[in-house]
Amino acid sequence: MERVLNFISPVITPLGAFVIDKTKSLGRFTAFVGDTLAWTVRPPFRSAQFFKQMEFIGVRSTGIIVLTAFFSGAVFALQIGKVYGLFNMEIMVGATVGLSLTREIGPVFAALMVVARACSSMAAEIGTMRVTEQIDALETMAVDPIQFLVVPRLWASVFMVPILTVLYDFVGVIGSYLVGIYVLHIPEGPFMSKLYYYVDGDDFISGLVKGAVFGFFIALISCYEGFTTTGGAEGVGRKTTRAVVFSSVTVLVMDYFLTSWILEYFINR
Amino acid sequence: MIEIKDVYKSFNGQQVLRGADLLIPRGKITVIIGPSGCGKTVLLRHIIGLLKPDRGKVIVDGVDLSKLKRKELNEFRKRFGMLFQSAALFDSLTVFENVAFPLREHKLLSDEGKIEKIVHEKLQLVGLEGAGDKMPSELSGGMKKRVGLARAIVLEPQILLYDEPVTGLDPIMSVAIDNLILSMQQALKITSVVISHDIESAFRVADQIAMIDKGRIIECAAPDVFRHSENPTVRAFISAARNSLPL
Repeated sequence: MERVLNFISPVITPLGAFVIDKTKSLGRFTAFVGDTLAWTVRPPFRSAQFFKQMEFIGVRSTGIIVLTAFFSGAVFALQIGKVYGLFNMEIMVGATVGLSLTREIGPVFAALMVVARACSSMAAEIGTMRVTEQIDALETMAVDPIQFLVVPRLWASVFMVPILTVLYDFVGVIGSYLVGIYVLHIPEGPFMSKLYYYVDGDDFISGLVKGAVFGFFIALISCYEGFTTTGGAEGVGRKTTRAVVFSSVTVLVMDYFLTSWILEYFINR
Repeated sequence: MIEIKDVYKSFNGQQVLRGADLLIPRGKITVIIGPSGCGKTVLLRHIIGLLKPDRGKVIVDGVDLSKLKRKELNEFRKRFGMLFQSAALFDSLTVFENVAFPLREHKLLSDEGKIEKIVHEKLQLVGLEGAGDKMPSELSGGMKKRVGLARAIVLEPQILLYDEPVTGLDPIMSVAIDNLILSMQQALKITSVVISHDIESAFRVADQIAMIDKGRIIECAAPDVFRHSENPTVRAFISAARNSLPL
């Protein structure tokens, strides 16, 4: 018996430690989510912080959103246009780009841009506050750090990612329109009529719902990573990287499941 | 009065406090000294409820901190002011806004004029009047600590905790901070707890000195008694500190 134990313990011990460690992390994250939701409904409500974060996450992301949306719409139209040209289907370029943008590319790319621009900075800022004792200082001044730092960021992100998604959709369509009409020389009338015909309010709304869900998770993950930072400047760097990687992966994985749910129950096309 | 009773605390399996016992009298300055990494800061964090003991109790003015709910603990903390080792100023706010932060946060005063008056008064107390518009990044280490002190006393706490107030400061600034600690205590009649590894500074300010070693309080006495302690660790600490002083 002892020999068997000696044989398997090098495998079982680290495996057990790994499982315990991951379970603890999951527990801590769940407690963090619970605290954040509880503090959302408890006064004092921090409207000034909320608007400040809306400005940071939303208004200041417009430049990068406009730039990336324009070029992704344009390049998408260019590629699709070339392929559709083989079948003389160029007039469908606007509809295809419009559907892809509203349903997928808009919310996913808007969320990824917010991850790159705002969430990385959230994790780094909160992480730095943690390692320089500023979060402890908040607590000693009887201010709950989750309510002060996390709640405004979370809800600002939930509100702003869908708005950025709208902007992304709109500018992306402009990009595809310009390439379609002026580069691929697709006649404007059929291009627009197919776009109007195929892209519905449902497509648009499904994108907004996705944007809000992505906004919720990316802000939560980034704040959590910042909040649990230890180990000085190196720790801040490590946690910022984790925040960006986990948030981006979450957006893409969650997108699949949200899409399958939306296609199953809401959009049967 | 603060009572620390048989407090144990470990982090990731490493035992930091092993049955720490200490009585901190009201209205006096208690200095807790000890070598780096002996658990001084961990003990201080227990006093304000930033950490909860694994075993044992921390009782402040008759209230057991570990029994308080989060909201009650937050309310209770308004009695405390704390000066952090790194001063922990909010770097996105100016000096003025940092000191005004607790006042604005707890909406104790709606009148901006009154807030301004109190903040200027506190900044004057720490000798930094006129620095209100500066950002924390523009300040030296000593100035940051003084702003941290102004922020800690702005709500007029009954208990003031200092985490290594003179570490990293030049000798002149150390004496200035020591004098501030003394004048705070005389002016505001508050209970002060100072964490330090600077024995000279401890002798300058303390009414009571406690020494912590390997997670326990090994000696606690008035400075004159402490100076002549028979405890070998205390003697070694005092003589090592003396010998390392520049001649």
